[in-house]
Amino acid sequence: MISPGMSTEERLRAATRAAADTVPPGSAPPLRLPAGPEGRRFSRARFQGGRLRRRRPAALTPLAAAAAVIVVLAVAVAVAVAHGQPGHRAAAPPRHHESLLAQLPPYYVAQAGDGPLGDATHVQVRATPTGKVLATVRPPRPYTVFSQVSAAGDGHEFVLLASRWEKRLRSGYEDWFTTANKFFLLRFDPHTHVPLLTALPIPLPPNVLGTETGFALSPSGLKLAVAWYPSRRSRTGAEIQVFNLVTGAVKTWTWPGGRPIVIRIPGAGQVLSWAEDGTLAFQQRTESSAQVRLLDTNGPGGSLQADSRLVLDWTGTDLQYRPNNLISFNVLLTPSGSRIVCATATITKDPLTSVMSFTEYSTRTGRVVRQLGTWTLHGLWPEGNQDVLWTNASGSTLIVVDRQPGLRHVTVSGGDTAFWHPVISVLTPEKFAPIPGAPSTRSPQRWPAW
Amino acid sequence: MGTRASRTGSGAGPPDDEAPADAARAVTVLYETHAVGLIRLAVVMLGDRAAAEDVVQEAFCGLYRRWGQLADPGKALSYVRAATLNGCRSDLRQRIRAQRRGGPAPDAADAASAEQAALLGEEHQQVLSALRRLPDRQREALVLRFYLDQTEPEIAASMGISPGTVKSTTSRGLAALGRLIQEAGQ
Repeated sequence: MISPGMSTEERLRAATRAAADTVPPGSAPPLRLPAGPEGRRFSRARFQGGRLRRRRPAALTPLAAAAAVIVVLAVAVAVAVAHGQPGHRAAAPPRHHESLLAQLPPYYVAQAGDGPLGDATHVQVRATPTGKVLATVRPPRPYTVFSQVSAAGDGHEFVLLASRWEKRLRSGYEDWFTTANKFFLLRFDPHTHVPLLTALPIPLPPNVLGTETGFALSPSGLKLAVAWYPSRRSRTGAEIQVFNLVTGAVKTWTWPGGRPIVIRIPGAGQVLSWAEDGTLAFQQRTESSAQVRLLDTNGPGGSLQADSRLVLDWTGTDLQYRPNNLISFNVLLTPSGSRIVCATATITKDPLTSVMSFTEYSTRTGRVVRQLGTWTLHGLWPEGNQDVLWTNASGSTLIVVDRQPGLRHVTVSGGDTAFWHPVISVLTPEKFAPIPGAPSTRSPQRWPAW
Repeated sequence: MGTRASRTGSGAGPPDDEAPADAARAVTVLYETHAVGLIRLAVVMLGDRAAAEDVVQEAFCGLYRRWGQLADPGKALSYVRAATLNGCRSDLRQRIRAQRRGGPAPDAADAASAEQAALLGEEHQQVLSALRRLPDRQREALVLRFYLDQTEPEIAASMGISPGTVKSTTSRGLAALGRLIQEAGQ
């Protein structure tokens, strides 16, 4: 809807934005290039997914849409298990990587399908060493998408936030809103390969995605921490709630006026991270600063400011030229609680270069204790191309989003920002090995959860 | 697989223009970074997601075929954006030609994607429909100015016309668009 008082310029801006928003992030089909740069000209029809693509006559479109709805309804089962799905080929890991891959959680959850705003219409449980899809899980009715995922880190337990999107009017504009939300615990049985989806009795408001900024399942799988901004209790500042999934008990920490526990977009990146002893790391970010604090969740709840301590602080002027500037969405606490792991870059001018690393900090002193996978690129680092997804107890083995070494595919655009093709890989001080079949995406909201 | 130590300092430069494999990688990286933005631009121009994807796909294939002839690979994005706009122009012209031969009317071209229309409000659809009735140059100038928020010099560079012409084209296009919207509302 457009208000009658709007100028032609405003109408045009609103209409073009609305049209553009119908294309969700990450929804571009794969690029199909011809056999070689000198190859013959291909017709457009040949290129769509490698098969002939025909436009439907306009008159048939509503029928096709209706048929699609019927098909969707017919197949909409809460949990579908797909053993060895046809068409999906599992990648075999190279033999010398097998021992490395064996150190990782055996299964992970990948988001799949495109909901109205780019959310996952379903998730897949995959085998880490091969990428093979072992089970497909769809949100139970009335939910239509899975908006966010968190993993315990053991490869067996995950928490999914299911949501139902509806299009509604707000201030004269049509927009998408969540009208129902629910946390579900997903347990994957390694013997039967059957995923068990259980609704968690945690009350959530309809507009949860506006204020819930991240959640994390504890390594034991027994506690769920949820971050809110603004705080639901104080209406200003930040809030963290910790739910005991066995007893239903809840503890709440609030910080009126505290900085947001969010990385620009709610649900993007891991703003919360657990250690086995109940310590919870949380990130507070603004446009020009980032801080990491540690909260002891063994206490009764109360003041988030008083019960937490500042460990890492990236604030001040000329921040991007400081050594080891934080560049990742995720900041992970090792399960041992001794280290914090994140991706960092040290930028130098003339010539413009970025030294990229995965940096580990001592939680006791806040000092750098180890750097892994350091490499240098010409130009500025790009967003979403380097991050950390999982760490073992000591931080010696990481799952990362990174550039595959040895491939000459880093380019620098006219704006001096580099681009490369990120791969999800396992990283140790000695080795870097891509994880076979792991989905690759730059969107931190769609990274797989281990 | 090499160790991480071997990463430092290696392979950080731009792709080798002569190597097809590197051209493929460079074009693929560019596609993965900018495809959604360009599909959105083409959807604004065409109102049809499938046609928009076709146009962008073709633009990147064109870039790949001409990769070795690019004087400055840093301008690849500008090239592919211009190719996308050209592709949209051709697509809209084909629709008009088809209509003259007794095919669906240009306005029905919007209906070619009923799913797209269903996602937009009626009034947004009205504005976009009017936009697609404008002459090529006016339509492109308005989209670059009010959707991509490009400055006049940037639009001039994209369209290969002078900044003065951009100003007059935008002004005339906006006036024509206002008239078309008004007519459609009556």
